[in-house]
Amino acid sequence: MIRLSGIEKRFPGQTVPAVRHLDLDIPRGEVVVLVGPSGCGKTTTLRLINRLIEPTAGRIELDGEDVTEVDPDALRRRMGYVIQQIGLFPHMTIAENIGMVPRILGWDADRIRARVDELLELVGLAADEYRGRYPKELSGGQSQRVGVARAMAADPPVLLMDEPFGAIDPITRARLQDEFQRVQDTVAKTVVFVTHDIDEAVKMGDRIVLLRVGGEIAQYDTPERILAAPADDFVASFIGAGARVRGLTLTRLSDVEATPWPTVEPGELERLDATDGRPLLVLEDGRPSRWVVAGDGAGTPVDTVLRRDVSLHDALDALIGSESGRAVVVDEDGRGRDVVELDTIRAAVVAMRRRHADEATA
Amino acid sequence: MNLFEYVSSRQELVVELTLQHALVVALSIAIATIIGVGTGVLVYRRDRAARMAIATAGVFLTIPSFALFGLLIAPLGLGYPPTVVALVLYALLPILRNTVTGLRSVDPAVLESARGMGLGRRRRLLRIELPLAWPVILTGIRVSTLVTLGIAAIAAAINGPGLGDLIFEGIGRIGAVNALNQTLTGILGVVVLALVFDTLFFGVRRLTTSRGVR
Ligand SMILES: Nc1ncnc2c1ncn2[C@@H]1O[C@H](COP(=O)(O)OP(=O)(O)OP(=O)(O)O)[C@@H](O)[C@H]1O
Ligand SMILES: [Mg+2]
Repeated sequence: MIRLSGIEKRFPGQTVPAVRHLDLDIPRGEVVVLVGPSGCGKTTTLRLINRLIEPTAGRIELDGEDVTEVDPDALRRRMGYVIQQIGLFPHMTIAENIGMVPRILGWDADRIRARVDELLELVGLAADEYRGRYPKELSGGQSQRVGVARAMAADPPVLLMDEPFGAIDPITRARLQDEFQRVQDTVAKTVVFVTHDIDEAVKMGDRIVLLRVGGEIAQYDTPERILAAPADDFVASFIGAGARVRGLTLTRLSDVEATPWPTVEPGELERLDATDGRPLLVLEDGRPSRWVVAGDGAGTPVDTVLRRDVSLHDALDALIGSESGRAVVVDEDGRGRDVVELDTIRAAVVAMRRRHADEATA
Repeated sequence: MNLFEYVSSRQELVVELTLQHALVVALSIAIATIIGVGTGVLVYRRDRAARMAIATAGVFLTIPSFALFGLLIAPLGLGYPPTVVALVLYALLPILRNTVTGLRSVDPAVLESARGMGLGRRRRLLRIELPLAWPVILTGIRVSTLVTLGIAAIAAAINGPGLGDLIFEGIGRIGAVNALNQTLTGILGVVVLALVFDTLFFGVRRLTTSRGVR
């Protein structure tokens, strides 16, 4: 765990400190995202943690040990650092860039080679194609991925990442975020992750630190609670419009209650008499197939089915585009008879907000 | 006798003087490189020190070569020692200045990531900064080499080695038989050496700079 207490950093000649009164506990194995407007001290905070700069006041501990008592180079080798400007070594190949810290640590050549290839594949670059290239032969997004791979090379317990996915297109970025989360689920590193992008913060963070200019914490909380209960106007305006819709990415469909729907088998259709106006769900072999109303003959096909593990955000997106305004929740085999409607999601959002508000007052 | 016949008739002497010339320049450049790059490494992060070092090296260049060679006779005598010392002094400025420029032009982001990865002062210098500054430093060494090739000819005035002998002797008896040929041979030798050294530098540059920074 990393603990910052009473940290202040004033650069020479600065009247207003870049960071002030910073108290922050970063629990082991969690991803803490620093987010805030440009110049609010995000990079400064990272550089304080690995001692690229020394605080004007305050104390930083890593696992209970004051970092000022550790050899800075040894400390930094335990903390992978992805800098905002990437900073690959232009005269070294991609493999040499990634293998730098392992080489310093005295790994043998075979082990380094294997690790380089493993990391390249991990960040989605074909090892055969990229290991021998030079940084100038990469696109911005590829360089960024190499930067991430390089920081992870020696498997450090702590990762400091300064906008690691900033220059990447949305699709690749989403893939890298997913990939990073998948890896993080198994390796559980202590990660301090900087971004400008509140959506990225919500997606990546176990906790989010919202900083205002001057390096003060506006709110330090879980993504759910930051979205549902912003501490003040600054936080609310930083999150911006659509906070509730954003919050939907954090909840799975399986967390809300879907309504079991009245169903009929195809063979029973003839015997169908008056219903209460709501269509019945026709199941074929347990799979949803059509919506039928008495006297309407064939009915309409079921156009929207959703797996249980999609986020409410994706569920909402699908429902808005659905003719019937309903979606059937199905398992891996496509079987199911529970239904969600637009209103189900609205009710879930309201319930969540109430819960967070209760926690905040409790 | 035309120039060609003249050179063939004294082939042995011409070859020997050319080799001497090349050797004294190579030796001086080697020493100047050690001193220049070493000083550059020591001063490039200190603004005042860097300015003072460069200014001092600049002063040597402004001393007329003839006068400098003469001044060095008293402490060092004649021949190789004063020649090498003088040439080193002339060669310093381009090497030192380019070392400082090269080291300072390394991208700060590259240094920040190197520091952030836990590369200490020495490793950063040897693995990152010097390799990245090397093309610029090498250019300085090349310029120094060309400058000293010319100046080395003056060393003949103090009994120094090299092609200067032919030039001075030829000039001294100008109008006499073959005097012009003698002078021209000396000059031609220097020009040929310059071309050879230049080619050499081209090869060294290719061999010693990474494809990533070419
Ligand atoms: N080396 C430095 N010397 C002087 N001032 C600095 C230095 N580094 C940062 N600052 C100042 O400290 C403040 C915080 O800078 P910092 O780089 O931490 O911001 P940031 O949150 O990372 O911004 P961005 O999102 O634009 O990267 C800024 O006002 C900046 O000008
Ligand atoms: Mg920054």
